[in-house]
Amino acid sequence: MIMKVLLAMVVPVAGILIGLLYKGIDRILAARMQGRVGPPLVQPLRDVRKLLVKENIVPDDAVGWLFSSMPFVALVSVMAILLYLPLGITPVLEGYGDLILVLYLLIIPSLALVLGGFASSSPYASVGGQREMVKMMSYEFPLAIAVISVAWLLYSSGAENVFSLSVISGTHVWGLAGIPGLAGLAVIFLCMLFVIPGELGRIPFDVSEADSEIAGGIFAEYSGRNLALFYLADAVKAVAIASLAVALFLPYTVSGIFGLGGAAAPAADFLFHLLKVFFVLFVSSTVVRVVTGRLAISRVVSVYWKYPVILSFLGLLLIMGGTLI
Amino acid sequence: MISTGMGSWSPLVFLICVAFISVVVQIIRSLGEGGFRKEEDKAEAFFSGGRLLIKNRVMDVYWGFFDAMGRYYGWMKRMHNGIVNDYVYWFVLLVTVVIGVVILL
Amino acid sequence: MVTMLSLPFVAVVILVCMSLAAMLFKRNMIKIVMAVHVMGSAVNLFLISLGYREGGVAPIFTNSPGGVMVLPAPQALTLTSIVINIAVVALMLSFAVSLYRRYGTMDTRKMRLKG
Repeated sequence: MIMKVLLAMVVPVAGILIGLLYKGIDRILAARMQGRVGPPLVQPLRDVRKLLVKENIVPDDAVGWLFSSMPFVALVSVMAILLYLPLGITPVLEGYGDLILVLYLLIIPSLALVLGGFASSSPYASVGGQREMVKMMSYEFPLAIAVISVAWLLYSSGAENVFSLSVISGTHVWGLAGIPGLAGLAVIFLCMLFVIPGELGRIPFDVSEADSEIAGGIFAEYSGRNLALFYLADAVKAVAIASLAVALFLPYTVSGIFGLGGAAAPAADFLFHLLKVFFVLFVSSTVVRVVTGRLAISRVVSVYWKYPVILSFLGLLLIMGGTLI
Repeated sequence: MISTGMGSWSPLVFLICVAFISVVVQIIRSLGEGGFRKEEDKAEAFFSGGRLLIKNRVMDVYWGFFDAMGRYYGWMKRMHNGIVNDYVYWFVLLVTVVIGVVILL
Repeated sequence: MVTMLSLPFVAVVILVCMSLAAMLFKRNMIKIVMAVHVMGSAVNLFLISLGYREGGVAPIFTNSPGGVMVLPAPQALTLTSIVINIAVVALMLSFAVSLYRRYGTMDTRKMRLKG
């Protein structure tokens, strides 16, 4: 009980530091891939410190309370998600929230971005807010199908309480439905990796914060500590969504292999989880953002409604076929 | 504890955790600067090329969605001409279909 | 097989088909309103003829000659239905008048009734 309370206090703060670490790794690797040297590893921390020192300018015509409270809401909600996800160890709030709650909570940071964009009195910011809202509507559908497919697979193989994240991360789904199920799960994993850059707002889906097109988009009027809070929310959101993908598809633990016990087992599992999160973020976010360019907003909508939807339905059909055989 | 057969959520625990995290975020927020030195025109919205003459109105928020999905519902928009005879025709057709489905199945 | 007893029902079917055809294919609004009225009358005829019993007398209680009576309940329903049809047709005619004032024509193909 005391352990749980202690973990509930430590995990969100650790989430911020880990998120900044991943941002730094992402920048170094992207730079090396582009032939540059890249900033040092602690550069995101220095960015946050710099932002906290700058002035916090609130525009004259902005809706003041909404403008200043949206970064707060974004960071708080994204740190709250981390408490329900299994980070190698069992989730901190294990019986108190499940997968559906995590899916709902993942909407809140994007919504806070949209509202912050509309609350600034700048036309660039409202264009950015429109684009972010449209993009959010587009990627929610493949994300929902991917999550429901895994839950359905667990349900049809007889597990109880299929939406509880400890049950999901305790069962290894890859072998449950035979060869068609394996293919279906691979396709759905691909869809999930497709959704991750859209959810995080990385290239090719960063239409809402396009620097060259709409002068910063949503963040056009933000500065100082509000922008620092949005920056931190973006960093933590990467950890949250990648942990969700890892919990659904790659829930393997390493302490069983090495036979560790006692206090060393959760530590080793946590470090292995960090490695898996790095792998997911590298494949879906870093490599893709170096290689591609930015898509226009109507293209984002048609790309998200055509390919991941068809792929995820195909994956669901394959999984269903695998359980029937 | 709200339980719906498959999933469960406890709002009280959620609110307690949100309260604690809000304290942490408020600490981070207070490390930053609150206000700004009021200079001339500093708090105007950025609009390259002079002052913003119209205040911001949000119109047609979902433009990107409409534009991208337009190809798929344009035929439906074209079907909605205002002619009464066509609407009666659709009514008769759909009642036939409904009766056929109800009686045959 | 069509006997003498089922003649009213055949008439109902013919009337409904004729009024449907008029509603779908006629352009003049007055003709469409007339078709709606004819369809209402066809339904009234259907109700009355459902209540017929073989060799029955009128369903009046005082000094009845005995024997089988035709059913009175459909006749009551038909009275109500006649009144409702009058109201519907009156409303449709007033719509037709105001549409004529707006568009200057009675031709439905020339009107765009949207929104």
